[in-house]
Amino acid sequence: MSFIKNKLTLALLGVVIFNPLLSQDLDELMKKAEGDKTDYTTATFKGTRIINGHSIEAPAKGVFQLMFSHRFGPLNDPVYTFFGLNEASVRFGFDFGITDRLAVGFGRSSGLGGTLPPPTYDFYIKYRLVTQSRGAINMPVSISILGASSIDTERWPDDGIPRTFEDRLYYTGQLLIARKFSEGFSLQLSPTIVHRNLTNSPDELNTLYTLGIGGRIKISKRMAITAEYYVNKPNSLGAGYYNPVAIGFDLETGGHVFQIQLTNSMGLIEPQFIGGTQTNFFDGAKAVRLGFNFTRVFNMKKTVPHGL
Amino acid sequence: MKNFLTLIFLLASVRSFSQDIYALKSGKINFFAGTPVEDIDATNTKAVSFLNLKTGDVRISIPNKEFHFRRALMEEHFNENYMESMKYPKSEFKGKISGIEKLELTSGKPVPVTVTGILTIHGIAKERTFEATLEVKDNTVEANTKFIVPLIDHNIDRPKILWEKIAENVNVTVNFVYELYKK
Repeated sequence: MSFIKNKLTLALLGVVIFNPLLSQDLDELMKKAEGDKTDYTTATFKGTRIINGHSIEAPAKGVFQLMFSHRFGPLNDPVYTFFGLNEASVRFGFDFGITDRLAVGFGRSSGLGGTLPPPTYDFYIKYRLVTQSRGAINMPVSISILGASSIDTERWPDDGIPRTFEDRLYYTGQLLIARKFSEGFSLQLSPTIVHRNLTNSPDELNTLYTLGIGGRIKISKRMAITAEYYVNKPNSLGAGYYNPVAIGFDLETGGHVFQIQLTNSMGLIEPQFIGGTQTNFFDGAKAVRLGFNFTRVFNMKKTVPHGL
Repeated sequence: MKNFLTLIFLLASVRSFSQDIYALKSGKINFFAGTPVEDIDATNTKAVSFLNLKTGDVRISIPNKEFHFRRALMEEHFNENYMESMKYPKSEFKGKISGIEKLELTSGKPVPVTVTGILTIHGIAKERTFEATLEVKDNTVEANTKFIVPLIDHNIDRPKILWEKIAENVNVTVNFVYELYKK
């Protein structure tokens, strides 16, 4: 009898010793409870554009962004054009965050003087598919998908050639894949398809397959150096057109993001800078021009912190 | 018979031990870093915390990215420019309630307590003492405290530029409701 009891005591002693509540201290409990959390990456890029092209970022829910962009003429003439400032292509745009994942945008671009892109209205929709994270959910990259279309509203020349409304339309589809490697370094790949219903010459392909590569290196908490390059599939652009290259500088000042860049493209939307860049960046000052993007955000919906 | 007593004693001790640990059920941390120019405040409800009422040990961990602000951009600035949340994802406190064995906690009223420990924010650990209250009811413990975090203590840069106005000292309010921890 006492043997059985002893055995029982022993078993219970075992339960006591191996009871997780006894062997665990608070630090272990904390570690276990914290293990369930996921840390999502934020602010992979400062702006909704890296330079010319879209970044994975979009305005947050209820945030309205106003954006002004300019690209000037080539830098090579300091006297007559003051480094190209006689001509400018201009876009003003509005971006709005419908949810934290879904954003829409509208813009109009036009220009003054020189060989500039036609006056164009553009629309886009951008959706965040996945967000880079670590912890309970490990995701190496953030991915957004973008669909855009634009309407060229230039008057047709009076040359007797019949043209239709469809000839004015352009479409862009993009997959934006980005990773924030560290606080200071982010990289994005943007496989892109641009379709133009009408091209300027027969040797230009209507559909362009392009890979965009863009990156950012932060030089301080509020400043960054950026670079962007869109590589078209060889022999698709036609004679006299080049791949767009851009080097930029981002400055963030509260509700504004100010981006200044050197680029060879005049266009401010995908079909124009991917398919319509007419100077070679590596020709230097006669091809490269100054540009800027200027954004200001407004909160349409006053979000109140939880529990206030 | 003697064995039986040991057994009962052991069972009892298991029970009393597990009754000392409380896990955070709902927690709210609010801070105010505003100036006359702008209201800057945020709330975090995603803290993890455990409390041992027998030893007085307290552990708190707060994911910095779970502080939510009135404006999305404020939140981005908080994480990017001030807290550097990618490098320092959480703020932590490891401490002990002083002389908990002498406190009469079961009165059903808030009891003032002193908590001393290490507060780690932005990777900088500081020894701090806080005044708090504990209110023990059936299976819950409600803890409340208010304190100030001087940004300079934790090497958080305060820009001198005009467009970003934040206070030198951040006022923090904590309301935690713990529940008896069940495995």
